[in-house]
Amino acid sequence: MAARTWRRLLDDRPARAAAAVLACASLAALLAPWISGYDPTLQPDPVTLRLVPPSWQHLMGTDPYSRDVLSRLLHGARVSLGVAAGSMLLAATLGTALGALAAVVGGWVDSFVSGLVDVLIAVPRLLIVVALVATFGALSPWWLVVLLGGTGWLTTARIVRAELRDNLQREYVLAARALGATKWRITWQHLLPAVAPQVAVAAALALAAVVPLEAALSFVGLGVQPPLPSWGNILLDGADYLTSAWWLVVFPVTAITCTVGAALVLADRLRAAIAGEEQAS
Amino acid sequence: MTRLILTRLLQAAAVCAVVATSVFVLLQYAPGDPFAASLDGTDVPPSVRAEWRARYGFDLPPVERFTRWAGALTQGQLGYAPSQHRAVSAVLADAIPRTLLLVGVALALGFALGVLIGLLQARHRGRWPDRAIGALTLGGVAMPEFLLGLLAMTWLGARWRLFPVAGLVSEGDVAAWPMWERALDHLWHLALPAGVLAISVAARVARHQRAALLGVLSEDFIRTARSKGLGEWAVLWRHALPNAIGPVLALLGLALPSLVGGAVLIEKIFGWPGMGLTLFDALLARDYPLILAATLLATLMAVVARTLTDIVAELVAPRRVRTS
Repeated sequence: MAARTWRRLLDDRPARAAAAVLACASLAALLAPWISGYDPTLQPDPVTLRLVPPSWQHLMGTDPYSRDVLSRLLHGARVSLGVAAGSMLLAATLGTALGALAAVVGGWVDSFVSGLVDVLIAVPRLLIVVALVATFGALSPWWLVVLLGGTGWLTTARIVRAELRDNLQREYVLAARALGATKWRITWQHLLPAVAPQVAVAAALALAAVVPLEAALSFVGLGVQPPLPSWGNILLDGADYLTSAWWLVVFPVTAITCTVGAALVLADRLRAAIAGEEQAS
Repeated sequence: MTRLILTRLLQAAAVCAVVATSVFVLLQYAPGDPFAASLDGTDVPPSVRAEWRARYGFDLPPVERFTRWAGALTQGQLGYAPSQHRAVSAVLADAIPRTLLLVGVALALGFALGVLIGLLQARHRGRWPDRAIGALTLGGVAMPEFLLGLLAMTWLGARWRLFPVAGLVSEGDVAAWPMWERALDHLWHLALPAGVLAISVAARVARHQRAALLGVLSEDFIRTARSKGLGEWAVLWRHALPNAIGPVLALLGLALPSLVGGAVLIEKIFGWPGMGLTLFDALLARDYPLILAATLLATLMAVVARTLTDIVAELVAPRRVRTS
């Protein structure tokens, strides 16, 4: 069932395009040290090379400190996408574990986890994250991963719990139980693989939520700290030059929007693939 | 229905209690306090700062401060905001109406626009207007509010000077202007921040609305309506929309916390002195009473709005069987 859903997704053209966009962004991030022409923190000449518009030497221009924007964008992808991917993984893991725990154990564990999710989901995430970062001061990217991942698992837990409860009633679980398989073996061997597509939808949505969150934090100066580049703090450097240096804003905005858009399309098409597979079977 | 409201009210109380307690506990472990170096210059001697701390009870043990604070809260007392030299309630009384205006206008505009766009897409489903608008709404969802705000500020504000880039009203002797001019000036300053938020809301609503309409359009009662000879718009407006708008409202309710978050950033960017900007300033000044009250209120607003959308969604859906 899950395998057919994945195949259905591979046959879908928008999904392939979105996956390609994400792959390109990840590749750019991984290869940044080799493909960027300049050191992202190097300030060659803050007087004459300041705010140079895009040219062949500097494809995306330079910033107020004479740094090459393209190189900063590529190295920024390492930080921004790294933080995003890390917190997505953390959120997906936490969400799957807690959702599965609630569904499989049931009873008061289920009421506790579901109640917790119901309560926490109503709290504006950005508010909590901003409050935490502002009171404790600047965080390293690793702590950002912990913070963003630790606040992003709610939707995944909710989806996993609902899907697992649905699957627990199906015949194949009954059959496995009749063959003497333990609860946890069934969960690990049968249930989790069956809900993997739904987890992937939640993960893609988590990615789409966390990329702007990191950018927003860094943009208000609370996230990734300079001189380490991130998509958000490149924007922060450009915020004072809105009228004179459009390239400082337009390129990072495009990078963020394309990444988020690709994640959203992927989640959308995957959801359609799941629905299509359910209708077909 | 009553049960839904009661559950939601209980949940709201739980959320607020959890948020208040955890923010209070976290602030205990945060470095600094409202009377550390940042307040009123650095030439205040430590003994005076100690006196201030004592006056506002900041020298008490944490547990006692919490019980004091929570006790005052139950009587509606929010305390004193040291960074602003006035009561927290006075600060919030200024800030809340501004945020409600911003978010209210953005929500109303964005929701109406989003529903209309969704209808338009459903009317032309599968053809080029649907696809073109679909690409636009995807872009609208993918571009975070603060980026859209930044772009709008760059072009509409700074470059073409069509709108003011920041603030609540124009500078100068605004108070002397006639009433309607002041109102217009206010609206002119509201246009960019509210417009940006509204576009964000509209894009989200439109995507859900289109999907919900397409889901409903394949049902039998739609075929019945068509076979009566109703036009496509009448089918959409009178039969499909009432059945498709409930889930959209519910989804909007789920998206409200993130909308509140977006509004915080928009206020920060456009210098709109509502709750968001107040919270930012309070955080930087480590004004604990104000931080506590502001986070609590923002959470409360998100929870209340979500409860309201849930109730409205329940009331709108005509085919839902209402138990109890």
